[in-house]
Amino acid sequence: MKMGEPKHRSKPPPAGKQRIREVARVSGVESDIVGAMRPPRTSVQGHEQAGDASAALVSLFREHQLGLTRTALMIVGDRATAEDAVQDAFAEAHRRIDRLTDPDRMLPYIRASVVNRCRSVLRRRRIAFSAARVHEPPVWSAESSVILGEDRREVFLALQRLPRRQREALVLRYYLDLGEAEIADVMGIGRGTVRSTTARALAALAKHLGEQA
Amino acid sequence: MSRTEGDMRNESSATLTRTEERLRDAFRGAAETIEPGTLAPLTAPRARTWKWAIPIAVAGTLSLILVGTSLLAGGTSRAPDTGSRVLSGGPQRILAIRGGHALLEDGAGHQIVRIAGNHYEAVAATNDRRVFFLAASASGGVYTFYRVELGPDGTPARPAKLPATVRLDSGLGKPESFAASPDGSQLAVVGNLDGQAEATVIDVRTGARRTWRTPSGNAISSATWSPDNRTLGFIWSPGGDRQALHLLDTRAGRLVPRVLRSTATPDGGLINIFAFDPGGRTLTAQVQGAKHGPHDDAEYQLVRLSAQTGQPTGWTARLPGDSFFVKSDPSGNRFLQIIDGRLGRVDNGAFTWTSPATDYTDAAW
Repeated sequence: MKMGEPKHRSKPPPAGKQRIREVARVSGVESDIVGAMRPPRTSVQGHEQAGDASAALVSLFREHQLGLTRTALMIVGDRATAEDAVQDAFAEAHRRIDRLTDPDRMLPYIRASVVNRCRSVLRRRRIAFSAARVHEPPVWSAESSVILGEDRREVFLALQRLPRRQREALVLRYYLDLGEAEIADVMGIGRGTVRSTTARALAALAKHLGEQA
Repeated sequence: MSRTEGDMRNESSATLTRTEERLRDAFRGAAETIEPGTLAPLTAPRARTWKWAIPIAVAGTLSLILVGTSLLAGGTSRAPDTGSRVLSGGPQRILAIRGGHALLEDGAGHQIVRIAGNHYEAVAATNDRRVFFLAASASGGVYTFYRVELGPDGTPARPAKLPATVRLDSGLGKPESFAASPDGSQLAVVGNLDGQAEATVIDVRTGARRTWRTPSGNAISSATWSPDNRTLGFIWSPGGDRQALHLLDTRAGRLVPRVLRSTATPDGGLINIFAFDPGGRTLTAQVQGAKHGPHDDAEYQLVRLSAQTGQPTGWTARLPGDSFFVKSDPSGNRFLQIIDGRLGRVDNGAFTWTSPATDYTDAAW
């Protein structure tokens, strides 16, 4: 950019597919995302909106992939599943790109989607567990104590003794540091429920850890 | 600058309990096992084709037909009853908090009248079920209180503001933090302020306050009044793994709570909340059971305890989920419940949903 050149060009950004291709290329995101994109055909405005939404989604992925994968790790316990959950959530968001017109709602939507996918994984895992009883996720497995330390492993083992909802509330509050309203949004429950659930989760965790809440 | 996932708020470690500190540390340690730059790039699938659309639609239609036929033929549905027990007993009016509004409703969640004002977070009933108290949030964690009386025809008078406020760091959003004495002369608010747990008793007429303050910031919840309007019950931990049901004589010269029993149950469960029954000889507690085997959700049930010893007396009722309070009707056999924002009730040990709406914050009858 030349000196004195305004940061925002007066020329409007390229619409539709071309715009997405540009963003994807700049972002280093695999070109499959471009191939999957089908801008709405209703109007020129629709093309521009879809392009902007896709660009926002790509940007969101770059900015939040790591944090979201780590969040999923806290819930499901292993990295591979956590990565899949985040990938799937973004892929699903991409499929529904026409509906994601409000950039401010994208992150809450993705977060909720990741948490929902983690729930699905755990549900499927329970079925497998019932049949085989062999599953031992790495984060709270004996092997992980070498990496995490016994003290942290003890916390994760205590977390696993909590009901799903309480565990999710603690992850969202104490790892993602979300506020009540945001947690309520992700979990699909009321703010009062978030507060009570978190308080109860802490009390139960303290009991399992043998300390004060 | 926008916050990214995993950023931690600058929270003074002095405000965190040992459990919270360990939790944050464990999350931090686990998060670091995934290093930046080691994750795969986004690979979105290519656009869907619709070659399966017709078979899926046909299968879906057939499924609907089968399910519908099964239901019509007398098959059972897993969906709970909605409204089948409405007004089958117990109080005819419920004062509910929904979306910050206070609404007088019938037992099926139908609004009768909306009460003036907003920002309401909690409601408590007195023994005659005609006088209710509302807690409303103001700025800075300050809560104000209102008295609402129903006329003989059930019409509520305009809420009268009480001459007292309470400030809490922990917030009053938890309905179990607020209780009215059965005779309506006192309110109790439990919560945390400036790193300390406290229980405040407010004289409704004068606004005078009496506060029992603990030296620690351990969580405190589950405010409940005894039928003689004298003893305040709550759950609190004086330290260590000693969370317990406490009883505080509010008329004693020196406020010193006594321990009734531990919140832990012999089978690995945990008492989340308890309330005095109208007769005063028993308590009803909600117990979160231990997780069993591969199941990821705990079982929840109401359990009746002796008010003298804290030991179970045999009566139990299973709940479909984690409810946040135990609010008995005058008979002591019916309890309002809110689970996931949905109103339900327990009648003589059996749970039933009473409204399909899911925006209930609190309710009283």
